[in-house]
Amino acid sequence: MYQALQIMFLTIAISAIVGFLVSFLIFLLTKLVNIGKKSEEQEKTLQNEELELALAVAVVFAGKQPK
Amino acid sequence: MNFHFTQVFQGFNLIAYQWEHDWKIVVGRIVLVILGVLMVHLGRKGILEPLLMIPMGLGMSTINAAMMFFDPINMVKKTPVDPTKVGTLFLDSIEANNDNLMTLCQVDWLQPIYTFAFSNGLIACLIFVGIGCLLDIGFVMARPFQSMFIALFAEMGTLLTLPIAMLFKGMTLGEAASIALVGGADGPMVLFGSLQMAPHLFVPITVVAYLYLALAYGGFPYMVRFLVPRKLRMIEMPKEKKEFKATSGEKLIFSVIACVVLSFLFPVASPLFLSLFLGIAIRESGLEKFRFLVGEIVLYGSTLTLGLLLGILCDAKTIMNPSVLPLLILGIISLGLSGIGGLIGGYILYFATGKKYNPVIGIAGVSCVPSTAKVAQKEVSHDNPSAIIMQYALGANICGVITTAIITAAYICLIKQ
Repeated sequence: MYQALQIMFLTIAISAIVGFLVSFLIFLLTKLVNIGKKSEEQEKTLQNEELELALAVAVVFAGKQPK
Repeated sequence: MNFHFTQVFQGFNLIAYQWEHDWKIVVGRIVLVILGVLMVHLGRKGILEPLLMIPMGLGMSTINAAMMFFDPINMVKKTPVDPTKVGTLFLDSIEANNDNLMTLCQVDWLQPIYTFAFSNGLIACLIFVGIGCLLDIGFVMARPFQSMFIALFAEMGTLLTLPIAMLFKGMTLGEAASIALVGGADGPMVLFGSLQMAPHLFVPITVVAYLYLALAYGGFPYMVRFLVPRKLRMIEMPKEKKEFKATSGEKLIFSVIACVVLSFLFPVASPLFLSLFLGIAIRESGLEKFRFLVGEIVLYGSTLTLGLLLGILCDAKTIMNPSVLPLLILGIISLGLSGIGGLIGGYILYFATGKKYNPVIGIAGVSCVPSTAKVAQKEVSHDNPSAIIMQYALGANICGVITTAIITAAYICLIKQ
């Protein structure tokens, strides 16, 4: 039982630290590398990219539709 | 020529034999056949997860009906056959001898899939690739700390069930940790973890895990309604000042970095990390043909195979093993505590944000992707159709997958020491 409690507390610490590390990694990427923040031009490109993706997906799925 | 009824209809012969020697097995078989039919029915109705429940229920009913006197190994080896040995033409999950396994692969039609895809965790990894392909990591990238906070609270069952399980007589640390992983609500993770920590119990643990995961789909809405008052369920999330939008290239970069960092930290769970982030990378790299292959064929093909195999593994002898009862109790404790933990996390954010955060999002931290996120949105929409919380719920949901993988890896490392 003592060992189980020890493992539980260690796991809580590990998952909290690693979870924070992953979150911090994302935070660093978004703040330092400026991921996610777009200028107007980038925004437009992103929208086009999303549209192209949606069209590509639609083409793939259209193949499955019964004619 | 003499006609022997029991020789032609072998099922009756076995029932008569088992009734004489161990009547409980006969009762167990009948109960499991009925339970299987019920699972198919509830899956068809949408009360339980149909993708899993229909093949599993059918498999469970069939395997308990299709038992016979069968000794394939001696039969193939042409050595004296044990006339009282009970078996099926599906698979044998207990056999561990390599020579015998190769013999069984030639006789039992599901044995090759079980041996080469199920018992080594391949199917868990394939499902993870498919799940990864469904995940939009952008939801996590938009609010990483918030999502991770909820996900960590939603692991309460995974963490607390470990010491609780040790209160059961004869339970080892590996067994306790394996059943505690049910709280993570990630079937592939339970399969992978139990294979590493309690290989002798991985069949019942995985069966229990998937049974409860299917129940979670039907049970969590009641937990939400019971623990979160209607007034709070109706809360609309405030509109964000600046909408976060990452390109697919940026999401791909994040996936690669996260996969490498997590695999470096926890090599024991690296197959799971690679599988998950491979799915995400395929989604974000614009490889549409791969995306279709993984998101449709691999994911659904693996789910069908997994459901069928789990059903086939539910024979009366396995399920009526005395060690299964504590697993059934601990599984529900673990999953229930995780749900409560997620909602506690939601409540903490509700108070921390000045009562602006919808606490129902907490349930999505239980990483049953995307079921719990759907449950959260459905419960909120039921009371307030204009409240959209899906993007927050999916963020917590995806983080839940990552935290469960971290805890699985931590348990494997700490317990195998």
